[in-house]
Amino acid sequence: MATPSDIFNVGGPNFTNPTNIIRIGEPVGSFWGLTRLGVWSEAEREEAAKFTSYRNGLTILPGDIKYLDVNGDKAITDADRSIIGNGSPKSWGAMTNTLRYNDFDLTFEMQFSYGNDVMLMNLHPSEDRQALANSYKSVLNVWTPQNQNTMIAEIRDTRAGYVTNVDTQWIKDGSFLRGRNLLLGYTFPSHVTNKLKMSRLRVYASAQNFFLLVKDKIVGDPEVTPTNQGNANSAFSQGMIWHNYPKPTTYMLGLQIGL
Amino acid sequence: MRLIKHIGKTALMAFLLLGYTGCTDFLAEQAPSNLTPDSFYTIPDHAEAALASVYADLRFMGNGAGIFSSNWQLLEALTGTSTTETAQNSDLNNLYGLVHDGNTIHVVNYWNGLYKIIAQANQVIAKVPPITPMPEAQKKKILGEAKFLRASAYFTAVRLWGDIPLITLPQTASSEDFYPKRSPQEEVYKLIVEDLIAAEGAGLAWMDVSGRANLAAVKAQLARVYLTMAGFPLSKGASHYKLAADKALEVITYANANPGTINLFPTYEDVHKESTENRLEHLFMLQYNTLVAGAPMDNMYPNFKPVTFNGPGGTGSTVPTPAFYNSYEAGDLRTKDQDGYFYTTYFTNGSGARFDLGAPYIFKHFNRTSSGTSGVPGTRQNNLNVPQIRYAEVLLLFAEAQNEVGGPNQAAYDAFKRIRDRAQLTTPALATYNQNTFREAVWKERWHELCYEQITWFDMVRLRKVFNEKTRGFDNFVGHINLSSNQPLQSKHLLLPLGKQEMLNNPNLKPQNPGYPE
Repeated sequence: MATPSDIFNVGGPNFTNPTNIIRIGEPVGSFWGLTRLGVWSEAEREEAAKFTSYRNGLTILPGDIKYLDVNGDKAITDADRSIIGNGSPKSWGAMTNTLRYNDFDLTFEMQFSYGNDVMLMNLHPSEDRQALANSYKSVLNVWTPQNQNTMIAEIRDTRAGYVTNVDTQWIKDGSFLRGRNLLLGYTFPSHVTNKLKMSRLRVYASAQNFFLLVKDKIVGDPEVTPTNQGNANSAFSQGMIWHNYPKPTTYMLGLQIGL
Repeated sequence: MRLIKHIGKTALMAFLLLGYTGCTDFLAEQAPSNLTPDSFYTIPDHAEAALASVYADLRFMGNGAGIFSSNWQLLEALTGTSTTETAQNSDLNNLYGLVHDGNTIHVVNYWNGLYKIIAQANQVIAKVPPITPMPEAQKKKILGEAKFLRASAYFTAVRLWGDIPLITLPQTASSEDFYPKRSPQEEVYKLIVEDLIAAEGAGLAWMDVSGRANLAAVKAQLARVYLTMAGFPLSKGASHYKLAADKALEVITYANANPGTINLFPTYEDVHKESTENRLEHLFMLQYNTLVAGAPMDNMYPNFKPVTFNGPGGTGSTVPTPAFYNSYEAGDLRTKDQDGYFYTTYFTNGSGARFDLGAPYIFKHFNRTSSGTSGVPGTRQNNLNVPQIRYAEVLLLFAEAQNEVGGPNQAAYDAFKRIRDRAQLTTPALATYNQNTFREAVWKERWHELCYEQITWFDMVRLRKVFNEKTRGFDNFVGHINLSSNQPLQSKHLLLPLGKQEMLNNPNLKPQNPGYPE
């Protein structure tokens, strides 16, 4: 529940509702939203009908998203939003090392981030509005009477009033370990370079961004720069993924010649 | 020795060169390309440019408010006459559900948008008078237009929030009222009336097809202000109903004498046509052209039905409630498919085979020219303006105000009947009405004629009455059930909450309007 000193709408695209909050005693830019419990099941049809949600009094049916009713008033409203994550890592760092053996050299550089959440806003178009936009293949797991234990609502007509909210379904553990660079080099010995009238000859191959381990399944890249939609980019939108282009993996071959 | 002599000579030269003129003039920088409010306003063209920026800012109402939504939906969603076919935008959902608060983006955007207009108009009003040389007539006209625009912005703001900061001068960080307090509504209305009276005397032409403020618009706006002051919350009653009726009658008298200049359009089609913009019935409009900004009413298109060249693309986030559509009298031309303010069929992709939409949608802001029509592909450039003041409203305003002054007379009846005649409805004879029945008949006509033009909400607030679509009578505001959401209006809804960030930035705005979280 919001309190008077809370600040919303700072950073982030805020295209459905405020994405983050600045609150005394909490990390800056904490994620703000509803808690998605799952999808209402057939067995809960009567219970679901007792609830109202953001849909102008349409009856909640089996197959609709089931949110946590924080204040217990059987109405899912902004009062049921709470802090559901935070984009700042508990720790992060990088290490680099170079090993040499005879004429070979091997450099590797690793980077990690631990304890940060990401808000995967891509799931708004890609999971929450199946009949309106292209979806991720995760919607193959949508609610059907035969598949009731899922987090994704039933596919309905576009006018059924799809609800989409910043909620816990969009929050993923963004901890990652990235292989930032791997470089293998070979320096030709001096009797070869002398013959070629060179002072130095080295060949190398490198792979940048050669692996990425992420705890939760995230489409895209957990290492996101603050999004620049809405109120322009700011530190307050740390960790929000909104169709950012992921980092490429780059392979390079090189030749170093010293005359 | 030579060196010392040299230094002495140099020092002398320096003294001679610089001593008399001094450093300051020599170092004073002229930065002709660096425009500041203090240096900009020097020639008449600058005054025109400054005024143009005020006009441009009027279009904030068409800007986006998150996904599938525009700012203007603030003034439609709360009325209960429209609903949504999507639930993608929680801020909009909160407005429909009457659970909006100071974080609702539409509320925040309206505040910011209106105060930007006011700020820009204040610049014009303060900076244009000293420009010399400048033709007096041009100066007077520009100041008149700026005052009309400032008054209009304040008029919207005071009806939405009640007591609001009254800022009449350009502000800087050192301004005394940089953290303004809220002024009583009475003072805000005083400025609005002063500004409009000044605009009335600014030598504006009766109509202006360029879309700039004109005399008819100023008088109509002033009549609106008086009518509102007569009702809630100022409740000035008879004196201001009289002022409203008299002011509206000035427009009607001119229109009767010049029916080719101000009149009702013969068809409803003309109300939403590019070729009739800023003419006849359209006394004032927001100007749109895709070169600058495209028409902003797309959220009235049906949800993903192919009514334009663009195929199935609409959002349907403002569509009529079936109850409101059905509340029109049988045979009302305004409900007839494509001939009135609604459509129930259209042409596939704008110009193909006719198909049934399955429900009524709002045709009032639909642009056939850009969307396409039967057999004629659209131009794809939606340049349709948004009406702000129509002559139809002036007629109804006069009928309402005149009736309050002394019951229904022939002139009030005639004005009212013209609206119904165009809708091809028969109107009972004047003698069958008394003051009460005529009052409600005019209100009902306002709901049906002026729907979806961001007017109805203000009627609800000034009358504290709401049209009941089922009984076709009027409910008290408090307790009326909005059929779009089945939620009752509460007394707190008479005012909007102040934006949360604004309250945090400026502690002098406290307290929050009653009933909303601080």
